[in-house]
Amino acid sequence: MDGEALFIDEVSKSFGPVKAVKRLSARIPRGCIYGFLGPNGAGKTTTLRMAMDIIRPDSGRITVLGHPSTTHGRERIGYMPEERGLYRKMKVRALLTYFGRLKGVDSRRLAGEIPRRLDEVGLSDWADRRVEDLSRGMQQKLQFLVTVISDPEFTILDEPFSGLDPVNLETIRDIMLRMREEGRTVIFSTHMMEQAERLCDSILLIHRGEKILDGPLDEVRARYTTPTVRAELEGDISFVEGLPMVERVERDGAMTDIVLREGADSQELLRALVERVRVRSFEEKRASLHEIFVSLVKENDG
Amino acid sequence: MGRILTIALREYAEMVKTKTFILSLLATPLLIVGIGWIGTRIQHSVEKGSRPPERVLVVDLEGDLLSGLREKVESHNRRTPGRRIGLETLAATDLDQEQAASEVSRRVRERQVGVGLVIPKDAIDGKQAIRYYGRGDAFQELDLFQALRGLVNDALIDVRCERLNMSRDLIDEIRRRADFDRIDVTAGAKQSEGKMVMSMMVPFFFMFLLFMGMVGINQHMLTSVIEEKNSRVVEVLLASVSPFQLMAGKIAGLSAVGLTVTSIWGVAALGSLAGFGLGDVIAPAALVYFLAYYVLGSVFYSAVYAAVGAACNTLKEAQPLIMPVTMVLVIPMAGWVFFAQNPTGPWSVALSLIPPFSPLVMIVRLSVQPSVPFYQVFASILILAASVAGAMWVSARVFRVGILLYGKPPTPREMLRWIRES
Repeated sequence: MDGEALFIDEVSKSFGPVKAVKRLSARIPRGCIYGFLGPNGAGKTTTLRMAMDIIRPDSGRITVLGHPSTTHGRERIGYMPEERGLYRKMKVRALLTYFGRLKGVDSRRLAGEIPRRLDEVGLSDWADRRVEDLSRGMQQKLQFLVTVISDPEFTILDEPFSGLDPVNLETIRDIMLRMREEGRTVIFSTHMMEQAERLCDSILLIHRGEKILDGPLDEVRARYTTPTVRAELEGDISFVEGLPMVERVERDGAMTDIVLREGADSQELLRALVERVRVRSFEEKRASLHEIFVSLVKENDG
Repeated sequence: MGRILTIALREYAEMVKTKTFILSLLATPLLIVGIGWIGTRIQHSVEKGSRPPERVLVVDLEGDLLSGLREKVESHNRRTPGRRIGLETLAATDLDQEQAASEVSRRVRERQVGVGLVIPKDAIDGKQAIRYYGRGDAFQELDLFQALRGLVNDALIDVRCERLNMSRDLIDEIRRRADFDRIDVTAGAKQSEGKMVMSMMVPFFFMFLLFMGMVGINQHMLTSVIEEKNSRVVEVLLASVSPFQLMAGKIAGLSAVGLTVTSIWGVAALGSLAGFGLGDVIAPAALVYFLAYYVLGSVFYSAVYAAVGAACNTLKEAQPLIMPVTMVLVIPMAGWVFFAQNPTGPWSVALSLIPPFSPLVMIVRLSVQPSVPFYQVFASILILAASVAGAMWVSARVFRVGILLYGKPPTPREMLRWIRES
């Protein structure tokens, strides 16, 4: 193993007066699914393009699989740009062969690999059709295949889920999960937090070109979650507010949200509740990435 | 290198497969042959045809010329039935010159006749011009004008001979021109006039093929780069290859297409020359040089076109940037006769060393004067090769920045900045 999958060190990039990325640093370890999160225009695409040496940073350093981004071998990396593009007049099989060859895969291996890959995403019947005959969703899947046809060690997907229906989304997700199982690294950018939540091991949150936070998803959650319990209780619950471990109580119809004091144990709360009222449901609430994201972005703006 | 080749092969295959390519490959020679054939057919039908005779009103104030002119016109009509002339004259005979002029011009203006002639009194001895009245469409009347001038002068000489009591046959014999046979001492044999014309056309033919290779084929470079840019496939490609590899692959592919077309045309042209027994008008050494200049010149311009294509989003945006680059090549194209006649003159030598003129000018020099000093050819190729490397270097920089930029096209100043910065 030669270093992290991606190492970004104090990288800045401006386009004229616009500072797209400001002194951004991040380490993306191998063998994980890593999410680049942030609202539109946060600098996600710029950062990924710099990792691919499609544009160059004004300052700072990027290494990919242990090599500087300007000299790395593109054949080990798969990259799906945000702006999708295929040769519309080419046939599906020829297109995949061409892009596979450009990644240095030999023709014989491609001849075996392409049917298998097409089958995996349900495009077998389209191998000899022109790209322009495919529907939008099919073209999206084909674009994904173009990216991973060489079985890259490290794959960068810029907004891989935009424009996909739930079924196709599931197909792509499964392949991404399998790639992780095989020990490959996948980075993807998105502004859809639910997808990140379901897939990522670690995340990087950027806003206006600056890092807001990064790290393993569990840690991020733990760090930014105010311990809250959501319970459905029967009986008089006015005593709850007086309990020592409780910060405050919010009624939400039949449900009650109980915000705990820092360091308090939710199990103690449960015990206290069971003594006095019927507990129909009791759930420790974890802040969703969406909530963390929105609150941090707001904080950052304010 | 493998990537560049993969890109070149696709570029070549995609280009060669298209209908427009096959059409233009076949159509260009067919068009040239076709235009020639239609030209001769028209000529033929004009000579054979049965147009109504052109009505010409003649007022002969001299008096002695008209009968002779009638005879000449009759034999003219027999010779070229497609261009007959119908002579007419005025009934009134006692007109002075002014009256005749106004009457003739009135009738021409009112379209009673096609054209008019007024032959002044002293036409035979004096120096007064014969007046020809036409209607402004000089181009259409050109044939008629020339025919009438010949016929009237012919008739004039007859009358003069008669008055001086001389034999017309003697005059014709005195004026008979001797034939010229050209013997090329390097070829050792007598050259036909056809062959002489052909060998004079060879430099132009070479130059034209080079020009097509440098400019014609490269229009596709613009289209291809702009298409990839607009279909956003560029960034997908850049995930696998560097901008330089992408550009180099496209240049290699399209240059190969150009070479294919030129070879086919060239072989066809050489073949048909050989068929007419004119195969030796082209020196084999010139072919070798042609190939070298073709490849270098084509790559040079490909690089420039690729950079311009990358900087623009539509062909329309690209045209004003490409225009000056292309127009400079018109200089050697327009001056080829000069270079062919003065292959050792200072202008010819200088321009045959300076790119982008050098391929075009040197090929003309080489094909008219096979003994161009070798050091000059060597220097010319060396300078061109260095310029190709320079053009690739500069273009790669513009290409790298431009290919991912959308929106309004850059000014030349911005492009200079890209070259300096990247």
